[in-house]
Formats: sequence, C-alpha cells, structure tokens
Amino acid sequence: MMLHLLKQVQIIQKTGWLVSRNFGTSLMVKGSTDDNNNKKTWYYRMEDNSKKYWRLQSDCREGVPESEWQGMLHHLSPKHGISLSVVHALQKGIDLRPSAIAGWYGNIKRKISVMDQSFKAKRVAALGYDLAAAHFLVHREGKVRFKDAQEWTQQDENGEYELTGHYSPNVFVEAIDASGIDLLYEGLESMCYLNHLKWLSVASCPNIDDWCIDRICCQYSNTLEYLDISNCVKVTEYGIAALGRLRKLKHLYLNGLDDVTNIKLLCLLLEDILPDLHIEGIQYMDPKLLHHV
Amino acid sequence: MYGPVRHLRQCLLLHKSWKINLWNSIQAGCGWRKSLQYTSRCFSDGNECPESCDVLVVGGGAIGSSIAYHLKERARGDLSVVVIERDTTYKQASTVLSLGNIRQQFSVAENIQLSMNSMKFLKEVHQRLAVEGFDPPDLQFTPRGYLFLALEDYVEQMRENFRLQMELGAEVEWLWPRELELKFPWLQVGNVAAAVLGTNNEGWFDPWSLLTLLRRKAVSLGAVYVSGAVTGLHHQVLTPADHLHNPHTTLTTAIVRLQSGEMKEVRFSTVVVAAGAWSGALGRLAGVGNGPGTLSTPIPVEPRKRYVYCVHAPDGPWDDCPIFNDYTGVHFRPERSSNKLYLCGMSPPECAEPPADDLEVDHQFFYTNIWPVLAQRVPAFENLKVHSAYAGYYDYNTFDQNLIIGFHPVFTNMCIATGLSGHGIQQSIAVGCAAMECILDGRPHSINLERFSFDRILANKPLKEKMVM
Repeated sequence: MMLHLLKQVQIIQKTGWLVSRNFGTSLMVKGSTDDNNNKKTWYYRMEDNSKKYWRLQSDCREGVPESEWQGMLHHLSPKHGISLSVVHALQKGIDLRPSAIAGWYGNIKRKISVMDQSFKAKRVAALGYDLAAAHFLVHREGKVRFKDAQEWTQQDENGEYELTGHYSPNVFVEAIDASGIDLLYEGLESMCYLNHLKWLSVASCPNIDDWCIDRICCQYSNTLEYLDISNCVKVTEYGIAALGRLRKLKHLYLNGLDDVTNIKLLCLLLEDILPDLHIEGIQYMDPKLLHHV
Repeated sequence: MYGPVRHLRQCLLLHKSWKINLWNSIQAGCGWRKSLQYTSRCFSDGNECPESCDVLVVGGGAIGSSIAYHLKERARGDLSVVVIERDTTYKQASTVLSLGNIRQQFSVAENIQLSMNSMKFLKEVHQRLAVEGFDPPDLQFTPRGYLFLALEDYVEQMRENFRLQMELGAEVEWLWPRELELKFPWLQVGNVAAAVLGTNNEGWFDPWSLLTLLRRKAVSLGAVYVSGAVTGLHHQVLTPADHLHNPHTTLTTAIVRLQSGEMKEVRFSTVVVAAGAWSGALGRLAGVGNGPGTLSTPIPVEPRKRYVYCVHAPDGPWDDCPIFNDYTGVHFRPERSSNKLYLCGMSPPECAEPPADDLEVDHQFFYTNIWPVLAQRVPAFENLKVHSAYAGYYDYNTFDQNLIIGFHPVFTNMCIATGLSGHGIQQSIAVGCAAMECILDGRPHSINLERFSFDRILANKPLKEKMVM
C-alpha cells in the first residue's frame, strides 16, 4: 500500500500545480507544426517547464573535478541533483500533527482525482468529443443518453458497459446524469464541446461551486434546457445569478439550496430574464397570494 | 548572486547533520503555535520594527502582500520578510478602490498568462489561503465575461488578439454584429464591426477580501507587517579587491518613519518596490531618476486619478450583462445582482488627465464624457441617476502601461514589481509569484517575463497593449 501511494506521489510531482490548461493548442495547430517550429516565440507554454532541477547539468557526479572534495554519499546522490520540489518541501518543514497528516493525505487524494478527471487530448483524438465525454462519464459510474436513443448508457452490476471504442460521426450526447460522480472543475473541462447537450444533472456533487457553474454556462450556453444543481452546497448567490447566460434553459432544479442568500429574489429575477424558465425546489412564490389575485 | 548562494547553503545543510536539520524542519512545520501568536498580531499597530531582514517589501497592497505570501510559502523559516505599509486603513491604495475585474483578453501574451495563472490560483483560494482559526476564504467571485467592441478599422487588430488568446487557452468567443444583437438585445449595435466576449474565467471579485486573505496568510506564515513610511534608502558601493571586477552598488538600509513618529533603520538583503502609484517616488529616494548615467531614468510610475461612478438604472440589463468595454474607453458593469446598480468609468485621453493631488470626484466628467456614450450604446441608460462616485489611483506606467518586473541594472538587489496601470489586482497573484522567483531563483521562470524587465525602459522599447485597455 505504501508503494502504491509513493508511486502516486511521484506521478503528481511530475506535473506540479501549474499544469497548463491550453488543451486547445495541440488540437488546433494540427496542420501547422512546421510553422510553429520556424516561428520564434518569445513566450513558452507550461509544458516546457516539466523538468525543473536544481542543477542544470546532465549528471552532477561527472561535473565534479577529481581534486574537489567528495562526500561519503557522493556516489549515492541522485544523478540529476535534487528536484526543486524536494528543496521546497524541506524548507517548509514537516508537520507531524494528526490533522496535518490527514490534510496531507487529503491533498494527495484530491490531486489524484484532479489528474484523473482532467482533459485527455488523446482520448478526444481517438473518439471525438462526444464519445470521449461518454466514456469518461460512464467509466466513473455516470449515465449518458445519446441523441435519438431511448435508454441511458450506464454500468451494469458487473461494472461493464457498451460503448464504441472508435470515433463515429453523428453520435451526439444529449443528456448527462453525473449525480453519482464526485465531479470536479477538471471533470467539467473534459466534457467540453458537446454541442447537442440538453439535459444535465450534477445533483449532490459536493465539489460543484461557482467556478463550475461558470464553466457550465460557458460550455453549454446555446443548447442546455434542463439543469439540476440540487444539493450542491458550494454554490453561492453569485453562481446562481450567472445562470442567466443559459439562454435556452427551461427547467432548473434547486432543491436543498435554501441557504443561499436572497435565493427567492434570484429565482424571480431569473424568471424575468429567461421567459420559459420553470424553477423547482424553492418556494419563492406563495400560492395563497396568487389565489387572491 | 543572491539566489545561487542560498542554494549552495541548502546543499551544504543537506549534507550536514541531517538529524539536526530534520528536528529543525519538524519544529518549523509545527509552526502552528507560532502562527497562532502571529494571527493575534494580524492587524496590530505594527509598531515593532525589526532591525534587519532578508527581504524588505515596500508596499502592503495586493502586490506587496502577494509577494510576501509567495516568499513565505516557499521558504518558511529560512527567509525573513518585512512588509512596510504606510496606511493600514488603505485609504488611498489602488487595491481596495479597484473594481476587482479579472479578464484574459489582452494583446500581450505575458499579460494573458499572468491573468490565467492568477485565475487558477483564485479557484483554489479556499485551500491555499486558509488560516486555522479564521473564517474560510470567500472571494465573492461573480462570473460574467468581458465584452470588447471594435470599429471597422480595428477588426484586424482584434482578430490578431483573438487568435493569440485562443492559442494560449483563454476561452473567448468572436461575435459579429448580428450575433451581438441576438445575444444582447438591450445593446444598440450601431457601427460596431465585431466584438469579443470572454465566456469563461472572467468576472469580478472583491479586492478587499483578496488583500485581507493574502495579508492574513502571509502573517500566519511569518511575514512581519510594519506600518510606517520609507523616507530614505542608503546604498553602498563595493569595490572588489582585484581590478578585474567593476565596483557595484547595492542598497543596504531603509530609514522608516513609524506611525508613532519614531525613525528606525532596517537593514535588508533585497528590497522589493511594490508601492503601487508611488513607486516612482520611492525609486527617487534610492537615487533612481536623479543620478548619473543609467540612474537618470526614473521608475516611470506615477499616480493617475480614475473616477468610478455608481449609477442606478431601473430599466438596465441585469443578468446577462457582461463587463462592457466600449471602443471609446467607457466601461461599465453591474454592481450587485438585485439593485440595478452599475459601476462605470472611463480612461480619459492623455490631454484630459485629471490632476492627481487628491481623490476628489469631478461629476462633470461623467455628464460630458461617459453618459452620452452609455446612452447611445444602451438606450435603457438614458434615464439613469448617479447614485455615488469615488476616485482611485492607477499605478500608471507612463512608458507603456504594463508591468515592470525584475531587478534594476544598477542597484542589483532592488526588485521592481509595479506599473500595472489598472490591471494590477487581477494579476497580483502571478506577479507576486514572479517576483518571488526573481528573488529566489534569479528570474521568473513560470512565465517568461523577460520582455517586462526594467531594461526595456532603458532601451526605449515600449510594450503597449494594442486596442485593449
């Protein structure tokens, strides 16, 4: 178990927190790689920073001349010197309180899930955007329904599911039910460019917050008609106010979000902006008052 | 110089008695006890002023606090950081008077990358800037998007900017006039030829929250905030014994006048100029701007006054209203979700710059320059009423209105991080990180900021934003 954890720690340290999100680059400049090599760019993208070492020589041990003092551990020192992240970690100190260790472990688990859910260009290159999103979701126990299909594609009791493994045109995802997955911001990034998505449910996903709402509004603004963000406790009034950008929204489910400040006022204002909208889960209109009118 | 020496020291420490080092690092890690002490002094009067420190950050606004946070985050106990801020109420600081808008729509690639990095940090702020015993961080970020309009002549330039933004990963959308009309029915398109709308990662947040969070976290990690003003900077000229090396100048001490009136001397190893609008004046204290040769070029940052008017428009657009930027320089954005209040302003042309002596508001400026443009662009704004107004300073870089980051060529231990002219709060985190890398690693390596160094001012190569403010 310890080895498994250590291996995961190694994977994470390779990327660091400045992982670039410009995944559009590699897909857009497909035909122009020659141009890129000739063009002298004075800015460089994050991938060039993947190897950061303290000493820049290829092998520190060879660089030391013979007459120099060599310590006892000279031949045991790592080939390329100590990576900067190790130096940083040593400067920070080791916190041995139980809460700090729990926090460290939670940190590692979160980084693992971020890496797990982040956008994979190879997956999209092999499958196209819609099928890639479908594979991504169904593998993690979500449900997907394609356009012109009646049933939902999901995992059965044995954890198996049927989805084509090759790109096929005219396969579009129309509905996504991600309520069982702990979806993160990076997961929403993996579900990009779904031009026919009409139905989305992220109910009870604990990590959906205002940034994720921003992402949903940006990605599906033209087509989304049904959105369910029930029990997403991290959403605040600023996120709900930003939902006005989904121009075709018809159904909005806000169960369990009564603690958001001014939620009733926001519902009324959303109804003003989007005329076809029908909001459920919040009692913002007293039916008794309507009877009197 | 400074960086490699520190690394060498760490290398020797690692090979030395690791047991003692391990014990030291465990103690440093259990700095929670120390952090509790520091949090009680979080907003203290700052009358204690240490006599010496490793890094002296002059200026405790968003940039200064961000630099202090990054330095302390990277080197907990190894580096002593002192931040000197002359006004703990931040009455005139650009940070708290700014609108707090963040966007990725720039025309210079480094600016886009700085904004994107800051945005990535802001998404994780509740983990990174959380301090035990205090409320969880809340920045009140409202995602909206920025809308820039362009006339026929500028479409080509906007297209180039758009391509660059897409290439670097910013999520922006191009809108032709017809699409603009469909998307924003309250907008009078007129003779607009094209527009770019930011669809993701753009909006506004509360700059005072960010400042408080950064400052609190920096203090809990061990930075010391001193409330006082720097009145002098002494330097010394070091002549090496051999004839092979030139004599070089380093700044050594700062004279600080504390709030109680007492004058104190602080010795430092590196000084960071993060004084915002008053960085030019601070440079002059050191001699940058009134000396011979290279020292005759001052730090070209001066305070420029900008007005912000809060207007009430009952029929105005609310929910789908982005942060709107007209090509004339007029900009507005909704203030709160429910009150139909809007914050608007305008960058005046060079000839009509208001005097920057005080923060008095000129209401006539609104009626002559801003209202006609607003009423023409958005007909619902014809019957607006000015609710209130205030003014703030831009740390205006008179050279090219962009960041100056890096060490000064003559005073080799003076790191400059200023000149952001209005887009400082949105890039503050990334600029703090870049300054930290400058001090500890020699140059900013997460983003290649060599085009933003002080050398461009000496070589007279301005790097202006094209078309985008």
